[in-house]
Amino acid sequence: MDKELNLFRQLVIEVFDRHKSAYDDPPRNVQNILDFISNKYTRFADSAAIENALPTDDNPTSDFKELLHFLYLRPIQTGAPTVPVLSFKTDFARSFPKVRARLALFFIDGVEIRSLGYRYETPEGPGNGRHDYYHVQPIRVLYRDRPGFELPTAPWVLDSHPAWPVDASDPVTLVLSLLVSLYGLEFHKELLAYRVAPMLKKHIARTHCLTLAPPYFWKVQCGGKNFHYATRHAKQDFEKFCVATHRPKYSKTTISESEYYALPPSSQLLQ
Amino acid sequence: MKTILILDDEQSFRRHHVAKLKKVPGLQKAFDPKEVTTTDFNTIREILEKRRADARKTHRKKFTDDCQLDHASVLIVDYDLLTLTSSGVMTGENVAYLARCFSRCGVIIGLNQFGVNSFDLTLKGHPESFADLNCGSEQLENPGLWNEPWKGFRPWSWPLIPQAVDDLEHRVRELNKSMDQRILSWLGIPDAIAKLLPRTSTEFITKTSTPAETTFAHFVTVSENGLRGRDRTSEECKVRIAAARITKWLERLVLSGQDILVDAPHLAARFPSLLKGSQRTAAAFDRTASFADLDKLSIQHEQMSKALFPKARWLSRPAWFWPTVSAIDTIQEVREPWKAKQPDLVFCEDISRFKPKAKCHEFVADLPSPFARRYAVKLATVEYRPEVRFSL
Repeated sequence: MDKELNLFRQLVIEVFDRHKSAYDDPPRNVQNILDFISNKYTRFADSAAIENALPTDDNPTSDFKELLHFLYLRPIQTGAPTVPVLSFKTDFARSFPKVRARLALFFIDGVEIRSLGYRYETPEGPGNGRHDYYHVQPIRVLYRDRPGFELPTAPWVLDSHPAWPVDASDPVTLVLSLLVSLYGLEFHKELLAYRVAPMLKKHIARTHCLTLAPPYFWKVQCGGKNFHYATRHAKQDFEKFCVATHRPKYSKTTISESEYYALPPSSQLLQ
Repeated sequence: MKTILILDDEQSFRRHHVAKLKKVPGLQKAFDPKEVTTTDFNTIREILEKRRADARKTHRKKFTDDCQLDHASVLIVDYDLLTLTSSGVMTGENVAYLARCFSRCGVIIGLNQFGVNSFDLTLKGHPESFADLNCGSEQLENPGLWNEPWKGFRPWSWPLIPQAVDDLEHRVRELNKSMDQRILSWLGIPDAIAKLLPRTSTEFITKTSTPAETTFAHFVTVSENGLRGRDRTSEECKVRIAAARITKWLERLVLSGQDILVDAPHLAARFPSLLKGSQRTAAAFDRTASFADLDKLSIQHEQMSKALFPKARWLSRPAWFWPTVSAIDTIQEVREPWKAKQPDLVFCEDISRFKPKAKCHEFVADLPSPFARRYAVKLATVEYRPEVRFSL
């Protein structure tokens, strides 16, 4: 099987497997959203169905639109409770695979259902087009050729720009970027527990958002007081900072990440 | 007159059921309930075991000896046969298996395997059981199991038994020369929709081949949900096994989720604009919950004709392919989903009627379906299990 295609499949299937239980008996604020959208956006509820809906070597093109079934990602409970609903269209037969991930974010505004839609895409063409780069842009309609897929979005929302560049260089990192954009770096921690994680190392290494240099953690003692720092400065640069700041003399030792985060936030200093 | 045979190890229970069935309105005109005595049972068991043993040695088109079960339109068998000493370790489930695989018996009702008066909140309905319907002895004479209309407790998953008897024989005739046909395509399930079937559903029809390739013959002999182990049977019985077991699969593992197929009341709850007439009362919704012909259902089925499940006698009620229905743009809720107004009424699975949502109890069925959240009125006389499925 095409390696890229196989990884894309495995990642999406595992995301589905790990997110689906969030809808077994969801909290009331999520159920309120589902009451509005379930009849229109039928959720994949079984891994066999989503496996059949994704591309394979024999059938490298796929489109969830043909099945009118959707991948529901785990609800977001930070800020307004939000249900992310995803639809993939793929073509892995091309030398530069095409993946379109249409994402609708549903939430309640007062008593009304609302949505913001985005399309995460691989380059649309070979390189001379306006959107020939990995990007995400807002959308107001999920499928133009199917009835009733206009999202409950304000009609004045722009839907061709901005087309933000995303931190992706292939279909797998496009999906990773989408998930990080929803769940933040918490998703990276989640991802490390995935069965597919060991196979994603090279892809993760290609991203910027998941490969920031790890910080150092220091405890600096000066004048009978302790100062705890997280810093990405190199050792000699941090030394210069300490010489300038902690006069007349100081001592410093490295501490662990957990020790740093165990401190009250006001004591967690950044440099 | 069609025969109902009642098999129980206790004579008093057999007689009690015969007497009570005779009082079910309308039943006496078409059915003659009779008890199977202990002596009769021993004879039946011997014949079925002999057929089973013979079939392993000799290929047969049909069994030519006579068995009382061959003439039964309905067999009602209690799960607990403990005091039938000659039955050894035989349970009602074993009897159901033998009856289905080695006789021409009609609809099999298994009693008390899952409680005497319970409601199954999983809505999975025990597809592994060879009884076509599993219910409790206190539910057997429920008029709603035999006739329309009904009042009170009447699980929607139950078929209407007289109709189920006719449908089974119709399916046997229909399938007679089609055992080598592929199940899914023969039933008219489009390829795209077949791909949506959950694994728990497809593994019932095959554990070895591709579901779309599986034939009725393969299902009967290889799936383990037809013949067990090294068992063989007559060609005639193979057809009957397929006709009974595939309908149980359709009803319990395909229709129950209401996401591959959807029946009229669940469809009306989602798309109220499909109701006939302008009224949106409980009575108007209730007229969708019926086993009557399509034209008598209070639903505008004409605009959904391309989505109708084509093998009407293979399900106890009309049903439509949900992915197809949900794309029909003449339906108001499909075209304008955000303008749709959901009714305050919900469909209660335990009474097969619509009631105001505020008066109902929500539960989560154990189904691989996005529509697993359902409702029940929760009657005091019925045991709802497992009760933890009621939403907190």
